[in-house]
Amino acid sequence: MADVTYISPEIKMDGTLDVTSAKGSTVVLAGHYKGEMRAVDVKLETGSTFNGKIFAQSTEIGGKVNGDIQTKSLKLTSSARFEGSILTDELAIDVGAEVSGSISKLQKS
Amino acid sequence: MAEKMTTIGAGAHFKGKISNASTIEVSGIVEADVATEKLTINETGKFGGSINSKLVVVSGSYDGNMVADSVWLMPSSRVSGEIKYKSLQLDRGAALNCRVIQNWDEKETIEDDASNTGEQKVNENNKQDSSVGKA
Repeated sequence: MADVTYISPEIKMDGTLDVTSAKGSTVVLAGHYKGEMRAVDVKLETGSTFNGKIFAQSTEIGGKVNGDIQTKSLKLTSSARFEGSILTDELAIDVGAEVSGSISKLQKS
Repeated sequence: MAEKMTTIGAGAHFKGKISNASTIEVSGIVEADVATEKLTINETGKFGGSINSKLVVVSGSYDGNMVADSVWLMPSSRVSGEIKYKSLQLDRGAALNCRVIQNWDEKETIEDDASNTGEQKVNENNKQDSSVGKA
């Protein structure tokens, strides 16, 4: 519990968040974030807004995102509104998700 | 309750601005200016920056300017900077290296309990009287 970073719905954060120092660390965003985020697992909940860059192992997006994502596996749920660029190896997009931008593979084979 | 609370995890390092918060718990490292209702700095937590809060509980380390109604410094806490408070609890073992000011500016305090501020004024007067007596 202590190693989970949770950003509650009403909150506004602006800056850089780095959670890569501890293994298996998770960031759950329900609020509004602007800036850079580095973590192992990132979950952007429905209703959240994100503006900036994400570097993670796995990412799940249910909110509104504007920016660049670099992640090993990415899931966009039906409530996701995404605009920007995606760099990923594994991608899943649910029916209903709105995605615009570029998608490319992380590791070129 | 736990769901609503913003938590900065033990491995997390945040640098920037936090606003519109109600309850924040810090187990990681935060360098930010925060206005909130309740802020907890856990044993593993490190906070640098200004805090404006109704209640601040410190078990970890803090450096900055704090303005709070109630401040609770736990035995493991390390504080430097400045604390402006209305009521303060300092546990045995707490490391305090800072400027401490009680009842910083009565006009600025939240007017939720008029009788409470009245009591504190009486307390201050008593303190002054006793110091005069000793001199």
